[in-house]
Amino acid sequence: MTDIKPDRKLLFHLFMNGNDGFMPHMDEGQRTSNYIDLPNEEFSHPILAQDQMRRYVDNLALGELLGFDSSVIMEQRVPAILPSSTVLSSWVLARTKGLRVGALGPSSTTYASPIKMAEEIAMLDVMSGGRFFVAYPMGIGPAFYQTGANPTTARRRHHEFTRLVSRALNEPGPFEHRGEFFNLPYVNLWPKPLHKIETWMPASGSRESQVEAARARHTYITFLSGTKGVVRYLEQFRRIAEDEFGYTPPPSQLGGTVQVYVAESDKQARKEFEAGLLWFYQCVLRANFEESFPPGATTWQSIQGLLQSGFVFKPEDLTYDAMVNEGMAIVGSPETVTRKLEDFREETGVGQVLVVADGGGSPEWMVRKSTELFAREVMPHFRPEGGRPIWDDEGRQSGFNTLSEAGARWPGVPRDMIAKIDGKLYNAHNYHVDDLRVPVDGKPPAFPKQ
Amino acid sequence: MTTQNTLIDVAPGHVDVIGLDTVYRRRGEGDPVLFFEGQGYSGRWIPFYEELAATFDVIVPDHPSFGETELVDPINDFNDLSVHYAAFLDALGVGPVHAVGQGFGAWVAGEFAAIYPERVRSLTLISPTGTLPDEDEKMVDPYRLDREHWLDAALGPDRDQYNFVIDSDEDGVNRVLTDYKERIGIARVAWNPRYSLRMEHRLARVTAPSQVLIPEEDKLITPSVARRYSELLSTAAPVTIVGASAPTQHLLVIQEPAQIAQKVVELASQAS
Repeated sequence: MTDIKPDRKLLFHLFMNGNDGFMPHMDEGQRTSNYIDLPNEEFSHPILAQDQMRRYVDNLALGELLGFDSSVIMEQRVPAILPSSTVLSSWVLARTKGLRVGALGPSSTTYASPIKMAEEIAMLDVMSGGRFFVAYPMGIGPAFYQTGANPTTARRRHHEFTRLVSRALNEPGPFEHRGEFFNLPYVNLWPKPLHKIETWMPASGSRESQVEAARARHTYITFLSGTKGVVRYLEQFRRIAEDEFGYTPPPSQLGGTVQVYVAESDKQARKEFEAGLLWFYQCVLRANFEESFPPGATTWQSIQGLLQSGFVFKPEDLTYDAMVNEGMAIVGSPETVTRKLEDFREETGVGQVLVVADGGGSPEWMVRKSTELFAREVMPHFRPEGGRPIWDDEGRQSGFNTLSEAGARWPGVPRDMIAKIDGKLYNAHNYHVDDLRVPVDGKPPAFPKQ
Repeated sequence: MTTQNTLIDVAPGHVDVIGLDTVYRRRGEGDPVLFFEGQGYSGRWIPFYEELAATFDVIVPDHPSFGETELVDPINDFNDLSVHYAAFLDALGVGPVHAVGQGFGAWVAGEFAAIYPERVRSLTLISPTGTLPDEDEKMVDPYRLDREHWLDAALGPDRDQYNFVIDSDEDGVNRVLTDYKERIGIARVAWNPRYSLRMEHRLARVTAPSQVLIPEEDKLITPSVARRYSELLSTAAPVTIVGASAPTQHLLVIQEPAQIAQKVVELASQAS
């Protein structure tokens, strides 16, 4: 959870769906969805995939120049080409210097061991100088058909898994873990991360996720909801935190996801954005109940609550006006988008916004145009004077950029490197220097501390 | 006996099975039959049970996550389910049974019989799932089918005449919830893999008389599955149950209750 100063009204995280393939429209043929089994031979040519991935990481790396508070990397399988958020994150981190990068997606269901995920998180944090954070989604329903993970035990396993990852990242090792799904006698992470990794819990209103986020004090980020849904889910989350865990979550622990498009005027924004947005809902999000909700991924009680409240998830039936009116998309001139974001902040109480900037089917130039207008003309209204992103405002908190900095902060080493040569022990570190080649007589000398 | 287009109301019983309140229905007198139900008709006394009850003491428990029986964390695979049913019989004080199962329930019956062969006097598997299909057969993904498509596949074009068995008096939302709950129970043990390689090894333990009954058309289970059961059980080839008025389908226990009950009676007469 990030501490936010009072004059920083919102944190903005740049996010891309990355779904810009050329999958068939749902009105063609008998296909119930484009998830799961859309043939790769026909719809995912490697040249197309390379261009999609290039565009995806290029646009997210631009988050640094644009001044977003972070770029957040998706993990999504068919029909997207983003099956590893950590691999994609490493690319964006390597191409930026100060930007924070979050992986929204390393999914417990795709890992055999929590240690592997913890290692990847720690490596990315260390290699990037402490700029990495992570979100732990359960994964969308169709993913269970793709990966074979059992949806009926996934949540139990996910909770044990992510708690263990957090312990491995934050507690001294080795320690032993005894759980239902994992018994690991030697949890001992090498390397440890450079800083305390912020964690998010992205969810679409499931009580189980809300309880887990409140318990672990993860940042709770709502997904796929209009403003009313965000208000309802965050209210549920606040109540759980207060009633069951005894604290009131600050705005910095609350986030919402909004599709955003900015152009010169409201009229022009609609003209540029409408078709791409509708394409996304009609061609990407459409799936039948059984595919969206594989058995047990959502508890029976949650499904009961959902259905009995009259929920009918038919994204293909959503109109542009409905999405805009319900706050699922904020579209317009910079002035309109600023005003609507301010309304969204006041209505929901969020302190963080995940800005979905690619809208689905929009061509690359539109994405670039919209994000630049957003950065120049919208974000400054929600920031302290100077308009800096949080990572530039606060400076780097951990790690180093230069070797002189590393030397100044060198912590020393716990032991010398000892090698036995001709029956005697030497310091291997300076054995090659004649003047320093002195046997250490079985008692390793301490390395001189700075 | 069954009244035309009406289900007999048999009150559910409750029994504690290692801490799990297990709901079952029981009716009839004679040797005990333990029926392992399939998907789509839990929590009710279907005409097939009534046919069996003319000869047997018929016991029909609801699987964990079927009917009113809840699913609990300790049940994660077919071994756990088998232990659950052994403990269920212990709790009722019932000795060896004639085990009968349909669809998913036939798979449970096969696993149960392989682990506890001494508790099975005869074994009848009806349109079973559970063995590894031949490589060239494409398995249907039952979890992706919505209710309408699943019923079309399970009962065929004449499905409406069985609405009194399948639909009960539930409204649309409750039917979806019932299906979802049953599928949770199935997926807990049969999401991945959707077949049992263990049975390839274990089923040889079953020495009781056994039979495999299949429909004329099964749009949910491929033909090699039943054939493989017959091979592993060293029994005769699967017997096709022919419909009186239309070709039988996956839910043939609902379409041809009297014919199948007669088959169970005949097999039971061979049991020691």
